[in-house]
Amino acid sequence: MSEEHEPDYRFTLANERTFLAWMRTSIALLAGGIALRELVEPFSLRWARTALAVAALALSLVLAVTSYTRWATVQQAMRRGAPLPRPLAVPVLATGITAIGVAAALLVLFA
Amino acid sequence: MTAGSVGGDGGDAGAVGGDGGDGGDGQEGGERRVGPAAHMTAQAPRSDGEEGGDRGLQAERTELAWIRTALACGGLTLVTGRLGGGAVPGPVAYALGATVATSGLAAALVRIDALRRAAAGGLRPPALPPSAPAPRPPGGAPPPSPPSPGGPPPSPPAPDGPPPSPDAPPHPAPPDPLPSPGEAVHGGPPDEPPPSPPSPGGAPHVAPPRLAVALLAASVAAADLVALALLAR
Repeated sequence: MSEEHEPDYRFTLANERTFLAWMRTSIALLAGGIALRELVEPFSLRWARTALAVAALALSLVLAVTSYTRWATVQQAMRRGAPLPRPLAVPVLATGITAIGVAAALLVLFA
Repeated sequence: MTAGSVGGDGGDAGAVGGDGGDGGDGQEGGERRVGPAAHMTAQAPRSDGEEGGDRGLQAERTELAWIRTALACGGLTLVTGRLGGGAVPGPVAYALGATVATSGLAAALVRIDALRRAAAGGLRPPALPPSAPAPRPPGGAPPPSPPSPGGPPPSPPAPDGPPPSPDAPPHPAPPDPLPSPGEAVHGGPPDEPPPSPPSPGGAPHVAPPRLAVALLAASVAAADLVALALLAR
């Protein structure tokens, strides 16, 4: 078991700011999902608008949870002097936003 | 924007985590070594560009990040309150946003207060140990300066050759040798004692904001769940 020590405060603050950036992304997805459901005109597929909004909200929920776990694991890794864990939320976010964007584009063009 | 080593969000820069377009606060405060011996110190400049205390700039940037997050929470309140009424009932939507906004504001206030108290106590990054070697490129030799486009290539130094003419381009200065282990590296007299190493465990730190972070993440996750439940009805 490795020895733990308090990391340099700058790294603690940088980890905190990274968490806040993820939270702002999550909040933006939450607001975007609600706006999508309330502002966008219904498509011919009536469930499509709600599906897009639900996808945005689900992605927001995933980010809110993973950002906290990421912050905690990074803080723990810094205390132990271990390598930082891989950011799993980055591919999840990129894939999710890409999927939502492609689906929205297809709906706008063909539905 | 400047390059940074541990960047933050917002396309920034900065030493250890610039945030929101800021950063580049390296070389703030602290002692600056000048003169010909500045580049041959055994204590390499910190890769984040900070040789001394940051005078609270790191804490200030973190405060600003909290403020931006609180503003985003407030914006969420306006969005949900304005747009609610369809699948999401108006009062529920407003309460949803207000819950997140209140949590975000409370967490931000708590954390900002803690950061200001920490900054008032004097935050300084830990000093590197004096035995830390200066970073060297692979191979040990300093990288040669690139030749200027169109200009004459730099000729190799000729120790026994004739002195260069005044019109000739200046030769690149030979690389300074690394100081030997016993050589003085701070420009002081050779018999000057080396600086004392930092005390173990004396590195400054800021308590991680477990409560504020958990409160903010939980409130946003709860708002997501409520919104999902309302949309799925």
